[in-house]
Amino acid sequence: MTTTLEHTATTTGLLRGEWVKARSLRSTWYVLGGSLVGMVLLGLLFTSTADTGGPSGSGGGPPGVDFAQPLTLALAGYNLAQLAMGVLGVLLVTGEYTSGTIRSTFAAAPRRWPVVAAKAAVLGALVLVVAAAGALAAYAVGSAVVDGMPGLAEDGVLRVVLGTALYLTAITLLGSALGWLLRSTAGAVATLFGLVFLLPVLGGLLPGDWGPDVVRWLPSSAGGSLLRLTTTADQFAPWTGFAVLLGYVAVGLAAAVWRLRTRDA
Amino acid sequence: MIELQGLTKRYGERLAVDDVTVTVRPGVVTGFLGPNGAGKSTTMRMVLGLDRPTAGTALVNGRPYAEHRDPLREVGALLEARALHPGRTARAHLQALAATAGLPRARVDTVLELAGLTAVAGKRVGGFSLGMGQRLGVATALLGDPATVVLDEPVNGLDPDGVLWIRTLARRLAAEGRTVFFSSHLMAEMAVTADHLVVMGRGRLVADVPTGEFIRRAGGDGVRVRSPRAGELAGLLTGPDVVVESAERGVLLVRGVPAEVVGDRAAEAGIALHELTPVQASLEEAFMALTADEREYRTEEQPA
Repeated sequence: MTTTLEHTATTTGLLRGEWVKARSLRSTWYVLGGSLVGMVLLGLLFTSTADTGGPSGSGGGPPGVDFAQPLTLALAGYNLAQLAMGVLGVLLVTGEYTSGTIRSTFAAAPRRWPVVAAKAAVLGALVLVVAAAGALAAYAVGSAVVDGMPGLAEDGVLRVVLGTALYLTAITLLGSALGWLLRSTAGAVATLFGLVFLLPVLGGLLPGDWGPDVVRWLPSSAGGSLLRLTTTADQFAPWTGFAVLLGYVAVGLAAAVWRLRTRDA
Repeated sequence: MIELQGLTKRYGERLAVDDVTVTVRPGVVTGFLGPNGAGKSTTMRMVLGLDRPTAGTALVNGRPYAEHRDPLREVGALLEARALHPGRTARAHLQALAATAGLPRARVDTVLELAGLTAVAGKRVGGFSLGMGQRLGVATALLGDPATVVLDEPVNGLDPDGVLWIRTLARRLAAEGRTVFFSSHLMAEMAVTADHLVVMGRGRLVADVPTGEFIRRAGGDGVRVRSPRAGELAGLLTGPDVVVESAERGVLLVRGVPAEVVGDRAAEAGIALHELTPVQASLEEAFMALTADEREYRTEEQPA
């Protein structure tokens, strides 16, 4: 008898299954809704206080926000959104492990990689749409509030706005890869935050002659180049940087598949 | 049909499942018995392709689980209580699985109805009682209308109503010609539900026998006789397979002779009987007897 490895668990079926799983949890909509509102409100906060040098009145605010550039001010909410969306990426995976539904999932679709791919595709599409809406809304609100906002047709502006959505999608997928690898919500969230927030800060403590060379390779610094109108010498060019971030995502997901194949579910 | 061939699973130093070879046949309820930690769940997980055997094979309906085109139509499993996301509704849980496995959407309503969950299908699983969660687990197992049903400890924590429901369901599924493989550490439950028993102790296969024979092997059925002239009666009940024991004065436990014969012999001799009761050895007794053997076997096996 020949063994067929062709399963009825089709691509559409897997995608639909993952879509049902994502949409049937309230947390998905809380996170996505919260990110959307947060992006717009923070954009509004920063742009409306731009004249006085930011919310604290002294040019303060989150690191990397250039108060001379209305576009980055309007989109500054991405800093918060990446936290929430990254956690969503983690949760949609680790939730299957903590609840035990992962076993039903793999019983229904025994091959591991299509499940990882389907989850990433559904999650990615969902976050991309919401993040793009958030970025465009934040840009629109910012344009209404502040003078001197560059138009979408100007060089690099559309790239920055839609790049914000691409960056957030990549961070979310990085979260899902960490979820597959670590299977624990706390572990994966801590690792993601460490990678995205902590390492760039620690990297700043490295000696000046080689520290920046390390920092620019970090996922958030490399991917962050896509969100800058102009990049400096110690940063990657926008699309190169984003490609580096996608490299991390690809390596993470590939490692996840390899782990799933070698480890008991 | 489940065929295990030399199935072995090692976790580091510990052999959770040790060279188990057994066939679970369709049409009957096969009880999978053993104390907690005997390796029952690990065996079931290997059947489902979730854990990979260290050695040996586990085939369901002729193939390894993962090589089936439609695995959920071949095998449905309840692997542990509450493998359910608390934030999802019962219906969404089943819909997601049906979609993933490519099963028709109508099956979701069918199994909800079958498990008696139609009224709470839209409620979040987090609010379910243990019994409702278990029913949803069984509904999940039956989603693909599978030829083989694997239920790990399905009666755990159920109220009498739920226990009866599982028992009736297991028997009905077997009567429909399906393979029903049902684990429990509750032996009394197995005695009434299972036709055939597969018994594990410390990872090893201890027995693979019809339930009745399992009980007989461990001492078998007997007849309790109470009579003022018990000693005299004992002398009349002789035969090649007859064993007569007396635990207390005036009471005999007779094995190897049916109650009718005991009564007739007593009447012929004019001996008055005050009690004549057929007794069945309990599954607990049978199980203890078997695991005691297993212990002796292990001691003998140690290298000199």
